[in-house]
Amino acid sequence: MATVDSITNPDQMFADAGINLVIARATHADAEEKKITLSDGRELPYDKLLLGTGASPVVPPIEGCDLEGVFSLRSAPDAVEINNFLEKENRRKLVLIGAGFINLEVATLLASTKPDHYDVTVIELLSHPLPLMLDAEMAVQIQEYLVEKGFKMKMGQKVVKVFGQNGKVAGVELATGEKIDAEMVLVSIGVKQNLELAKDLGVEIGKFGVKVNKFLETSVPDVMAAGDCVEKQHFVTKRPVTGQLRGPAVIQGRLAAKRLAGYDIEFPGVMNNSAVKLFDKSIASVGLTEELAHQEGFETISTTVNSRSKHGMIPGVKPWTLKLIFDKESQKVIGGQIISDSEAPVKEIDTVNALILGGKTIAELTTLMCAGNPDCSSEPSLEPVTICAEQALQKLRA
Amino acid sequence: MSAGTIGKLLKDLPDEDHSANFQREVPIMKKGDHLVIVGMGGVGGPAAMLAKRLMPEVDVTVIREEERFIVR
Repeated sequence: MATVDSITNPDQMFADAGINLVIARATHADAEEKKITLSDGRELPYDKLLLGTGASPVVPPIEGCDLEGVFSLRSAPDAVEINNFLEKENRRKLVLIGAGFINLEVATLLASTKPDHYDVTVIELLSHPLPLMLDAEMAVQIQEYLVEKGFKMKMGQKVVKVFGQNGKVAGVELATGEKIDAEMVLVSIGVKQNLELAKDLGVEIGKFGVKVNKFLETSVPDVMAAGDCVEKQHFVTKRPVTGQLRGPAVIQGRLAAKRLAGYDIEFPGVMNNSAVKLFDKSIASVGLTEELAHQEGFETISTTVNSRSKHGMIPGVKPWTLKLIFDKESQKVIGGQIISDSEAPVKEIDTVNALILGGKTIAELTTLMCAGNPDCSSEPSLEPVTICAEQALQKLRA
Repeated sequence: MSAGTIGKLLKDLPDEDHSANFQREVPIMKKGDHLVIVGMGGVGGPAAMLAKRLMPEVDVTVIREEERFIVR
């Protein structure tokens, strides 16, 4: 398993760039005097302030979540603590509350590191794993795959209690009354924005975080905000969303820098672009799932096509599946999902991302031409974006 | 009323831009100005590096609580 140091950028990189690095907690912000107060008592004046205060894991109001052996994962120290706990106590029985990508990646990583060592149970309130990424019929493939790998997948189940013995976690109880033994519990059901400084400054705050305009400026002059602490707009629905992913945070951070340098570039909104690898399955999604599209009032057409990672005659060819979701009214593509047995095809989700950004329609997708090579792609006749679009054309006539 | 029906009604509302509409002049930072960035997750590190590259004459400070900067 990678060490923390091996995945960390050295602070020297910032020093070499001429950036001042202060390692302390910012405890207070004053918009009138334009200064930040630090945990060591120092005060830093600013002309422009960028808030990137992030978010923290939500701990559900379930009895027993404070027991020793109950963790959430957000940062590198959390990962070190979990790893040390498992190693030191030789824990085997793991219960993961939430079937999002953080929990599933942790579970598959641990199971890959020590095959046949861990007894893994995943509990999800919703009906299937990766509910923000995949529709049910796609997700069930992942669920069955993880069951084949030995995971116990308890979908549509609610944890009502974490119980312990001598202050240490011993198991969880479901709403059905079923009890599951656990020597470690990992809770990952979402995050909440860190808004303390934003409140100090008096910036306007929406349902999903600090409100910003398309240039990431807040309601308070000279204060910008970006990343997980900010309320974003969904590119497709135009409605406010959390959009708490690393991709938007990085892009918003760099966009804020460009704005301060005088560039006039708007943030386009988020589409929850995400990818995850679980054992040998690579999964990616963008835009709306069909389920969410229906909740948002779209009448949809969706198509799913099986393709392959290389031309059929090339050794090592692996299967992959693409699902595209279209708005029936405008015929524009509004979402995509990929499940693949090799890593490379999941990046085709970025093609889907660009097609959504470009407002491309079913008809336009039927003429998409892609780069192809026997070792790197499917045959042109199996290029799944065009085939999905052709099948959608047929559904439109049906 | 189903979620889909409620969603359809919502969708039929006039197209509304839900982003905030705070009007600002395009800011251009000047030599010696202080840019302070709080947080060094996905936002802080990339913002600081690009800000310094685009505006080398601006004083850029990042405040970080964590021991390490991890986002690449």
